[in-house]
Amino acid sequence: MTHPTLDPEIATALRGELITTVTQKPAAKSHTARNLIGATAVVLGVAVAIPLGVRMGGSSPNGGAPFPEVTTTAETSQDSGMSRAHIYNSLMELAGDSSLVVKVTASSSRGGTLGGASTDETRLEVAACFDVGGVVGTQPVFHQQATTGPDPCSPGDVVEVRTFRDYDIELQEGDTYLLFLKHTGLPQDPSTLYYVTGAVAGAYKEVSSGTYERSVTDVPDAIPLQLDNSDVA
Amino acid sequence: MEAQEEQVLWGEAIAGDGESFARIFDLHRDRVFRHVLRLVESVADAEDTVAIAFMELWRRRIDVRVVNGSVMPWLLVTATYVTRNVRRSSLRYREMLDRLPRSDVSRDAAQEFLGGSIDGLEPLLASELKSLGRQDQQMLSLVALEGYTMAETAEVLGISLAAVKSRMHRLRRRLHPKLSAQIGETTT
Repeated sequence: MTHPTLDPEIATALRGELITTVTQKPAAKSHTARNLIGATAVVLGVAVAIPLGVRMGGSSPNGGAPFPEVTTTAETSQDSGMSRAHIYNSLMELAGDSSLVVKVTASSSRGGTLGGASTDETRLEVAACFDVGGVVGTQPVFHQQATTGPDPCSPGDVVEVRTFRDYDIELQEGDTYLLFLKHTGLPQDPSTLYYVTGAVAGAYKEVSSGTYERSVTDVPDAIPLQLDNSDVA
Repeated sequence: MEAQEEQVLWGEAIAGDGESFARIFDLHRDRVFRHVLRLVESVADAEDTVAIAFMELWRRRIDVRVVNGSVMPWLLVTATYVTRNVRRSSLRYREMLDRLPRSDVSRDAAQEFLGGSIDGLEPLLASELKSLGRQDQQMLSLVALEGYTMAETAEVLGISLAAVKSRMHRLRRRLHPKLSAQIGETTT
């Protein structure tokens, strides 16, 4: 039996890349003033935050007092690039890597291709926008919010999500989802076009009022299978 | 290399010793490459996957499960994940991947391996492997192809030994009889 090996030239180059990467490891993330504000938000969040399950679907208008960006774990933000392959250790980490957390209803989609792969770009109407206000215990606390996250967001907005047919979930017309979204990062794409953070990790489908189940369960991410009113901290 | 020696290297690597990390790469790169070749469609995808798996090994060094002194099972599992996502995974590491040399010369052994012309069993194995779900792919690869015990497989996958036994049993019943018999020989 022949045993193929990695091409020696590639192996040598990759070895060098690895040594460089290891010896130039990024310094631990420092706490900026913004982080400190966020830490305050965590404390305040315990007192005033209304968690996801409570506010989701409620009729209260958006536009409450702006809430600072949440602090996240040091590992969360080390990589600011695409998050398609990242394996998340917590919902907090997933949220921290997302530029939008929204409740949406899928309306229509159109097919396309990217890099030779078949894609769908699905239009979704935003029903509610969320910021992550902090952590209570081990769970993040979500605040219904409009404009203080990385991306402006309001109910009634339309966002588009690109999914890969061979890999991702299919966002079904008429279904409602809680989605953690991140910009595609591709320069030719409009600012309203997103990927689901973590490919399939950040997609929860509403299965009953106020109950969201992760659309794909066979993932390595350590994130809840379900989000619902019981998540109230 | 003894597992104890690898564990020392790993300790040095996560402390920032690039040469120790490179030695772990030397130790496992070809086995990871062969594992990946069973799961992808092209040699180039396999090369990218190996690169990404080792970069992920470094990036996720704090969370890596070391089984019996080795990071190899973790690498195999991670590489399996990456193959499912290789196009998207490569976006994160595009800059690094672009720096790697790309030879136009045919990598005969690897291509032959992919084409399944080396061993009569390979086309069947590749076909069956690609048809499995991710966790079954991982288990089959670890237990039947890489020789890890079910206990080691359970540890690295973070599931119970009973679950591994049960799923392997189901797998043996589901796979082509020729493969099933071979797996039975290696795991019973």
